[in-house]
Amino acid sequence: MNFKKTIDSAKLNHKKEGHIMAEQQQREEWGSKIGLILAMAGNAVGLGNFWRFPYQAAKNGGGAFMIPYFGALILLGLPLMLCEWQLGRYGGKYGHGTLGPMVYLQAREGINPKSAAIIGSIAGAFAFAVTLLVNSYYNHLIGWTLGYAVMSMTGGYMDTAKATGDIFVGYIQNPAQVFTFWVIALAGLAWAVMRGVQEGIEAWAKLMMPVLYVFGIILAIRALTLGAPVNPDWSALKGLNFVWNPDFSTLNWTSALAAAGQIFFTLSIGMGIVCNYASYLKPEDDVVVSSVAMISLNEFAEIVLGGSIVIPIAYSFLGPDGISAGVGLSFIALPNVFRAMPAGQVFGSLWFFLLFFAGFTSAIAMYNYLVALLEEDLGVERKKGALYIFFAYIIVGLPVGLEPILTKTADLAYFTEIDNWVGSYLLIVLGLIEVLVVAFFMKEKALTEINKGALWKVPNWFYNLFIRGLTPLTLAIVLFFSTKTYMEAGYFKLVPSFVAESPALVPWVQAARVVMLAVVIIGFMQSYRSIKTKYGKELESGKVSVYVD
Amino acid sequence: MTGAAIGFLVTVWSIVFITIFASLRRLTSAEAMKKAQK
Repeated sequence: MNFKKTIDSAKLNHKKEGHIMAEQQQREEWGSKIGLILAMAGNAVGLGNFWRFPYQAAKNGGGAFMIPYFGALILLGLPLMLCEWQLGRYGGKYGHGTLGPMVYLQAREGINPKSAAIIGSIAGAFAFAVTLLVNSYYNHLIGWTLGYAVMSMTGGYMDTAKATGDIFVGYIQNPAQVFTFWVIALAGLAWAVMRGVQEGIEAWAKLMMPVLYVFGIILAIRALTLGAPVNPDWSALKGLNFVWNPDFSTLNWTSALAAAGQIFFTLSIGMGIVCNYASYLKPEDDVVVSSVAMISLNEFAEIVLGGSIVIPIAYSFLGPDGISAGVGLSFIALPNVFRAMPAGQVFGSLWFFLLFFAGFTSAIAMYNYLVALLEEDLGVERKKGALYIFFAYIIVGLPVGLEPILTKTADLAYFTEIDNWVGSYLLIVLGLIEVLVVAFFMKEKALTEINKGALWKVPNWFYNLFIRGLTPLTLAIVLFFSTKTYMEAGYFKLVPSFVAESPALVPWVQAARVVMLAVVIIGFMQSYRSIKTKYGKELESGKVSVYVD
Repeated sequence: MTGAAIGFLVTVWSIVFITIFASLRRLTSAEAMKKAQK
């Protein structure tokens, strides 16, 4: 098959004295550069761009948020993205698509293999937790967007006699709706991943990403030409002004932390999924220009389209108070707007399908990470692996869907607890581990690796200033203040503050904690086993002996 | 919109568009060259 590459003894033709070559591995490859970039952009462009970014920007002062946002993009986003592409391509050369062995391979360059295996296993455990548990609620969000897209087409929320908040609560408490659209979304993901990297993931990205951008451009044009339909003081352009007015006086630490968190979420860094996609590169493929292309396409979706759709629309219909509706902005505030807009059903459908495509192309990446893990470590064939992961997602996703139905609440405590830790905090921890390993264990070799086959070269000063200096330092500061914020918010308490007044939700939070702990332990054991299977001799002898040139 | 907001928006959007154009152009021309060499 033309999409398979073989790392065999013929390719690895020079056996170094005392070095054992990696055993034969067959891995898939991307079909084209554009396919790879669209798949990577699809990986990054997700619900975070269109759903999370607008309410984060609105909540944190609009223009005041944009300043630390760009600071975080340069200090954290670009350097970490280069590290992850490099980690992935290097790991792929050894036949790995998962983070544990990838981190091990680079850590062993600076410390003894046993310690490197521990660090690799911790990284692998966190990536396993992120890809399994973030998708446990992310798949539900995708299901909601699909459900709402269908509701838009059928006029399901257009009845002005019903509050859109009540419609949303009714939706998430309706098992038929929640589970139907969730399973449809999951089945679509399974089908795409089953077909492989080139014929599944790449083909879907080539179809969905252009459609997503076209829908986004149509919606942005509509949003910016709305004028002031409700109140002369509430115009779409005033909403745009709110996002872009660089008001330095409102800069604060909270908005800086939120901006750093948003950069992780939007670029899909600290998850292992960029590394997984990069593992399907050829050893001499560029990673520098590809990283820049991926980031810039993501930023187009986030700050150009994301910033020009939700906030201007919400501002022109709901005023300055309406834009701070938080997570409900997409599902509660905007349906109100679509009711009042001419051709609201059409624009509502475009909006929710855009969210669905964005979520789908990101969820595929998390799904594929776990399938790669089964393929590489347990020898499970891709189609079977995709089926096993389908059922795994059903199991871990059930509590997310069941909580509102069984408790008749809409607080989503299980979802919140998982998101607080695995979907937010762990990303920063994992990002810090990655950059420390690359910068201080792989050292200068990492820069050589980054620049291998690069169409634009990363200069020494950039590597030393950012990857070996400012990026880990900034991450350590962000982690310290995130921990402090979490402690103040009561997330470390046995009964976290956000459910202290709702005893019925406490068991859901405790269940989430048990699940997270179990998944991290399983992930650690699995990663260690994976490293030991391939590099057992190195762990025993304490010397690095397996190389792929 | 204020002048500062327009200036900030135009600067950032321009950087995004130029970066997309330059990076995609570099990638596609390199791929075309590789194909031509084959």
